Amino acid sequence: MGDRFERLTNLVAVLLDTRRPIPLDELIDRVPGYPSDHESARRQFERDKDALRGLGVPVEVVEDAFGDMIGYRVDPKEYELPDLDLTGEERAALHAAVSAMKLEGGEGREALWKLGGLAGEEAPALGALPTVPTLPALTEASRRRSEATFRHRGQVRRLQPFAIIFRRGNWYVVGHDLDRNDRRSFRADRIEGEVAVGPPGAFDRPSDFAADALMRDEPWLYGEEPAVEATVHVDAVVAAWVIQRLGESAVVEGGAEAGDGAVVRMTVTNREAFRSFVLGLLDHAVVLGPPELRDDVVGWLRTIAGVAR
Amino acid sequence: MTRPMAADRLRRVLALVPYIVGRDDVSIAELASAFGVPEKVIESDLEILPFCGLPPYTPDRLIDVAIVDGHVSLRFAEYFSRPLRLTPAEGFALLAAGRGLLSVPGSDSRGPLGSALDKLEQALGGEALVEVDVGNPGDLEGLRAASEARQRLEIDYYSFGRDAVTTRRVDPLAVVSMRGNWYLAAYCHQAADERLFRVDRIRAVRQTGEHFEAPRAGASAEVPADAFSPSEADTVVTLDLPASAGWVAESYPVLKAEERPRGRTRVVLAVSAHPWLERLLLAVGPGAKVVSPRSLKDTAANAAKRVLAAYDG
Repeated sequence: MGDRFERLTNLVAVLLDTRRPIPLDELIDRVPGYPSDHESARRQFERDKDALRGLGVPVEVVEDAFGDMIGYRVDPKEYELPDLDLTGEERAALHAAVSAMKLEGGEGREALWKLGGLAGEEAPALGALPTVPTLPALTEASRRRSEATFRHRGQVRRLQPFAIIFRRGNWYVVGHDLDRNDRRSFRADRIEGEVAVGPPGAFDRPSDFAADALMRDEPWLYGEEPAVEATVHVDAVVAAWVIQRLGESAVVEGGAEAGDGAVVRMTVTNREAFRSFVLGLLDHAVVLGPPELRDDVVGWLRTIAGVAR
Repeated sequence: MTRPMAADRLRRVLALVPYIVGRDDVSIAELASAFGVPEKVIESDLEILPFCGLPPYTPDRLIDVAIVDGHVSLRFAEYFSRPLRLTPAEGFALLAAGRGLLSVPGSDSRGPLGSALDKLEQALGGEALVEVDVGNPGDLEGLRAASEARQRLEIDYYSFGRDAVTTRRVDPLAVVSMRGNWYLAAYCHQAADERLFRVDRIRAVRQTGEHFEAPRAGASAEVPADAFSPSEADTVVTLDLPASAGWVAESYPVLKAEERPRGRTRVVLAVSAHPWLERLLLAVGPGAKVVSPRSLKDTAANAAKRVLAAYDG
């Protein structure tokens, strides 16, 4: 097993140490460990190059003015980590964060190796965050102000990603949807396949952008239907939970501590999601109005109950 | 499987070499602690390095490793004197964990963690606006204080699954945030076992004035990876669902899912509480059928009648 490690290490060393791009044949010839058969050696090199790029080594392909390949190299300026100038306290704080907030499958410890090692003590676990494979690419796109293109629930979306947000158990990317010409948010775990990141500097994040306003997880607002204002009575058993979910501003009457519950207001642009939310509360919630929404829920329940309208 | 191992080792070594080169006096013990691996791993990394270097791989071109009394020095590795840049995944991992910890109520964003994240973003080439909101439900701070002081509590808890409020005496062990919800991990005297309580469903907290002993080591706060994992008390239910209910298999931990004609799906679920099944069936609507057990086949109709009664009331 030492063989491949040695070859990969030697490959990085020679590519970093050179200013002149090194042609493939020369690399295969000079770095020990490649098969003598040229075609096998070339394939092996391709796999090595992919492994190095997978680790983040910026293996550069240099071409001449006619587009013909001259060779490979690694530019130290692209390879080397800039000095972050972290204090010992700051490194310890990062270590504590990585150990306290466990990102599932996260590579925080490996990152800390590069920043001067794991400093200080591990912190006791305080929480866990899920992760999604597309998040690093979306974050990079947001940082570089690059357009992100991806498939989301079967549709191709082109987005100027303003922010990456975790809320209520899910990661979202929020930004300006170029095709719909409107602010949109997308659940990152519903993105299918890879995210294509465009050239940097493609947009400016609006100065008045506030992620919060967009990011309430209210599926009854994720829809294109004409907006209606619904009022719902929730009893004392669930009132506190519902008010926490919707915010104090949704309360029309009563409250979390009131003996007979509360009446809350909800703006609805997705009737199906609204119905699911209300039925999730079982007999603790009753839609008061408008008649259109109340009738929809009652009709739905009557069909399930097998009772004639 | 040598390939991922070689790449993993290279990743560590490309950070290990600059760490050693940048310090005058470094011991194997220090390296093991800085990299969070056993000393043996560091030793084997160092054993292999002298075989690496530049063509023509003569002694002055190979990395020179000297270990004297457990202290390490390196020569001829100038090209590895700086660590490799952070990958997008590594940068994201630090940002997400850091922003996550800063969003916990009571954190200080102007402390060393905040300034470390600012420096990190600068080094990565600009601010990406990663925001983590872990929420701040009801009595989070009070529960954390009680857990630290080992105060026995009495809580009124709304069980969403069972749709009922119960009063329990609990010994709070830890308060943790998991996938967007805060949980109280506690020993529950009613259940005579450890339980997880969602903090936003704790309706009231009362002090009992009693204290409890520290739990035995390893007993506390290990949050199960899957809060849905079926237990013996669960009923196994088979449902026949219409095509419109494809989300059920995505959103619920189904034990088995099977395609049926006309886009229908047959799913097998472990159901711990009756109201949980009612909610699922009411949301899916008229097209859903309970295949087994037979005793549950009227669940949806009965639940619908009960909710309708609330509308008549």
